Amino acid sequence: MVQTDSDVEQTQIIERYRLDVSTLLDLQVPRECIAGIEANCELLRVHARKVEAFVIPEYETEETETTEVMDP
Amino acid sequence: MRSQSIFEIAGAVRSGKVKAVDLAQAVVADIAARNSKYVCFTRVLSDSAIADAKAVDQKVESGIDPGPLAGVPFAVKDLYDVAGFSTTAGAKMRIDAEPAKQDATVVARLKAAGAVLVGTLNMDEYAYGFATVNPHFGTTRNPHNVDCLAGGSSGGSAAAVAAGFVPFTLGSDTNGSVRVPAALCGLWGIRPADGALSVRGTFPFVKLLDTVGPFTRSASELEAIYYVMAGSLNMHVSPSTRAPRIARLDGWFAKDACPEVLEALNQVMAHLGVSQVAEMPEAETARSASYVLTAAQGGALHLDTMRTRAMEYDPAVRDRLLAGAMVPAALYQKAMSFRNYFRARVKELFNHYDILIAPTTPVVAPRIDQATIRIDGKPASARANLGIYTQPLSLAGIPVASAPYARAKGLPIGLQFATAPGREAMLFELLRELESAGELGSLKFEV
Repeated sequence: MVQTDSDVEQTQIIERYRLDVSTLLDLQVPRECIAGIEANCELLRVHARKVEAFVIPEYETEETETTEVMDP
Repeated sequence: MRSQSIFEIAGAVRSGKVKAVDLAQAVVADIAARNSKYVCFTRVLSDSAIADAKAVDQKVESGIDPGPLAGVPFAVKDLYDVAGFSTTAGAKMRIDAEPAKQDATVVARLKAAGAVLVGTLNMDEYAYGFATVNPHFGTTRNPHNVDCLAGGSSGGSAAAVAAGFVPFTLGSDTNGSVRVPAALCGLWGIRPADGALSVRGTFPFVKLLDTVGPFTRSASELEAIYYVMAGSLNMHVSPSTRAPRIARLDGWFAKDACPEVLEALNQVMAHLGVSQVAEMPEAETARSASYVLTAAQGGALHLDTMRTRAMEYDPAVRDRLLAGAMVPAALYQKAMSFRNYFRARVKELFNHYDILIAPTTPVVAPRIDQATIRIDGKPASARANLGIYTQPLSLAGIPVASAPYARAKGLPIGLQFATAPGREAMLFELLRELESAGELGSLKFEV
């Protein structure tokens, strides 16, 4: 898919707000901590992409939370 | 006592041959003498341990049943509530937290069975790690080689048993925090099925995935402590009436393990005469979903505290939690939906099998200064990847034991044995059989 200008702008906004800790979370974190947070965001993105790429059949999403005990 | 089983210790105390108070005093002295070498204990509960041990002795002298674990010393990861003490969860900022009003449920059950609590144990801060490298309380060292990691986050719990301080301890397992250190320290450990053992009175990490479990030096002791934690004073359940259907987990669980780990797995499968192979569908995605849910729930739990005390955290833990706090709701929801899908698929797998076997960790204990291991042919963070085989099974919510391979030539090797909720008795029976056959067993350790 070809990105349009508005796509790029939207991506930049999302990136900025995901990573701008002081704005989004109102945290008093020194600037030198941002690199560590960004590194962890990158790691999370790797896993997020795998989760996002998986297509769950619609009918599969209704199971309850209970752990069912199976026959011994 | 270092080589005696739980059953031998309790038998000696119950018969009056050994005083529980003498045992407790010996353990306290041993911790004072040797803990600095391994950095297992964060606190020694000398006064309460000796008082509890005296109470056990008084019961014996009065002809009152002191319980099946009479006088057996034990210790707990420092996220279990112990009445009268702050539960630190490995965090310096919690050293002066309001003391717990009562013991965690499973601690109370073990004490009621006569066991004597002697101390609390080191962990990764807030249980977020596989290393037990804690900037406040120190790095726990593997008793089999003190230059190597003990694993985490329940590293203090594993090292305390492996080093012979106590015959059993308690840890917690969210993504593998019992199984990973059990494997690296050559012990038996179990993550119970979701909801099978009470987590009441333990400091949470990821409520969706949090479980509690014991570390021991034998399969029969693991079973005994498990059932006492579950609220039973009967430490052994009747054997099952049919042979278990066993398979080795393939796919994700056969990738990236080092040759000695795969050889251990092959040897055990050969002994069992099992060539059956099973694939757990979407295990790689399950690991990623577990990673996302852990970060998101952990981050949300700590967000309020991080707003005012961010710089008091272990920096590595803080940065993970902050990243997790920014996980979008849509991603969290997708991971939750995947979890339901995955659990249904795993349940289907157990219509065909009873026990599934896989490595616990891809490698033996890394050196403390070793930054990377090879995953998928590439260097990857050693500490972040020790749980690649435990995390998918955590998401499944099933009972999984880690057992030590008895014939490891160097550092210990752990294998996971997973079963369906409700089939724990079959699991314990198989573990005991493999231990009797010499395939599984804690490595002898010279203190």
